[in-house]
Amino acid sequence: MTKIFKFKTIILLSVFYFLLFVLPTQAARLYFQPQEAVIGSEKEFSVAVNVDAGKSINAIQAVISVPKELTPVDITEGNSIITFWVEKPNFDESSRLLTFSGIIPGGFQEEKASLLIVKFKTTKEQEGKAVLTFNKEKTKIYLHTSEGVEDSLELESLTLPIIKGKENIIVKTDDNDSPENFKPEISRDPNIFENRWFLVFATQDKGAGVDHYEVCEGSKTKCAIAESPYLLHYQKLNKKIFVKVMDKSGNERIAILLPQKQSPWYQNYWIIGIIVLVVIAIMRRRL
Amino acid sequence: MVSKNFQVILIGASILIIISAALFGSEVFAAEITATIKITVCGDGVIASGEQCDGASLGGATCASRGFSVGALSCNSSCEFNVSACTSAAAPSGGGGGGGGGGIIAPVVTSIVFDGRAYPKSAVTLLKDAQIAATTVAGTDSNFQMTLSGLSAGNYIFSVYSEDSRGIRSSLLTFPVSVTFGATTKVSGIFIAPTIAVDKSEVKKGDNIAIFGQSAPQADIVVSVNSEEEFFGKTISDKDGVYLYNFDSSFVEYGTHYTKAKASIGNQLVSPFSHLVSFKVGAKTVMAEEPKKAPEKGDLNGDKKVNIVDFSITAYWYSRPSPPPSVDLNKDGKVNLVDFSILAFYWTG
Repeated sequence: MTKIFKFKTIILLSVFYFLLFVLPTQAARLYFQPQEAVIGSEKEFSVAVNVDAGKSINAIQAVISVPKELTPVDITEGNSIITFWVEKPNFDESSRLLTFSGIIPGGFQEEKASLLIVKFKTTKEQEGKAVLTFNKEKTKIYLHTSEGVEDSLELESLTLPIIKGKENIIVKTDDNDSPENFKPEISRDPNIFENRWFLVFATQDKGAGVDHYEVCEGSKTKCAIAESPYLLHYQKLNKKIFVKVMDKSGNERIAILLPQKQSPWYQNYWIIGIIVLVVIAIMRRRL
Repeated sequence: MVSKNFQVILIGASILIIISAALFGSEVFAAEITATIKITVCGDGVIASGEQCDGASLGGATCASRGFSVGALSCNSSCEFNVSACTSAAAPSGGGGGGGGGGIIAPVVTSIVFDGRAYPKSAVTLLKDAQIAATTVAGTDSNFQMTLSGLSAGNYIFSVYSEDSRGIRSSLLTFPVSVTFGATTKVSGIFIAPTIAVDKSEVKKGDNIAIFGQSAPQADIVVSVNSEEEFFGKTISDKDGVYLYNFDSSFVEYGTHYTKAKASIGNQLVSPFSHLVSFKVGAKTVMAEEPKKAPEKGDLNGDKKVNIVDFSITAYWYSRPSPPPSVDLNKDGKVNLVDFSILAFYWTG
């Protein structure tokens, strides 16, 4: 009896010790934080995807399985700790997987950090439950090390009861701020675009998040939706470049890059105009 | 009987602690602690440490308590008392005053101020969400201050680093800050990690190896040599912030060892640990090469920086077949998130 008591006590102590001291400080925890514990059918609601990083981490890849009861209608990454997206959050309807990946240069070690906020809509007018889960094989977090070491993970799924007639709280926020200031850069490298000049750019929007970028070469009106890195059309770098960023609320910011090289004189319309005027003036005098 | 049970429990618990320390101890130690950074918000109406006042909160202070006779004490945008409307003597009686002028509405400014220490006269770079936002030069006392304004309210990740007198970069000191609309957030207590280098890449067992670098002047430097057992040594930096610690290699086994350093001033200001630098203890002595100014990995375009250009080149090859060897940072034949993690580690902005 005494031996059993001793054995049980040691086992219990082990479990408590590991639960209280070892596990929480080791594994990064990915979890969902719903706006409400219970949701109404055919209604919209938000769920935050958060991380608790016990150790410094610098790269995250997550794959979330979305049940057929829910449809993502909007994804906000404005206040995400992810600074650069390798794969922007994207929902694939056929596989019903929501995927994203990105990095945090310099590392991050905090709790309750937001990765993104997903607004869902319940698809059917019926009661039941919806379960959001992380894909264990494809969800990964990397430690802030020189070797790209994977962190151990705790993945928490979320079960949301759906109640018919329940009204969800709609949180509306005004977003009148433009995306953050940014400085695009022109570069070239033998490893991409056959060593031709390309443009890189990235910024954040602390409200709804960045919607898209546009690059305009030469004129503000000649724009194309673009992604970084962007192969420049005018390789002589003699055109002004405008990089426009739009957030999801319609606010924009434009960064301007002046021509890196001057155009030859015969391509400068001001000089041509002056020459034409001078020629006309001379001809008039002679006449 | 109870005491015997207690002994067994104690022994069991001790074994567990030893096992878990052996399994996880070194990794837990690797986590850096940046405990001295303080974040206060000027403009939230709460008088925090280092603030005299905040908005309408004057902490009970009046013109009289500030040494004046009468007037209206207020608080400026730096959370310091504004005594411009306080007077020392009663105004002489006279004719009636003119009408008051129109009020001036102060523009709403959302800003953040960074206060910290680097190395004497060193260049300090501030990254906002991993891109360079400001640079400055620290004073001879190694203090620096930087201000960013025109920010949106929200969560930011800021990082700072410095370069020592030999052009060697410190490790990035990264911290998240939540910026409040219309307020000035003050981040103080930043202490950039010392730089570190060794004079020998291999040291003959029994000989000394010099571990040196730069920090703030007269800072207490703790040098750690991480072997099977961890050794700590202490030294003090000179007036230029330069420190030197001679480590006796007879204390450690043959093989590769790692060293790092951290600094503290008066037990108030503590820096995180520096980069790890490796050296070998062997049968001969080999002098170390001059430390490289370019990051060890991730500088794909050779501009001595790891930044958005390198990120974009890596992103171009993400999941594409046959990436160039220079882009495939872990040399596994593919560009995936592991390569991005390595890039993020060596980031300079």
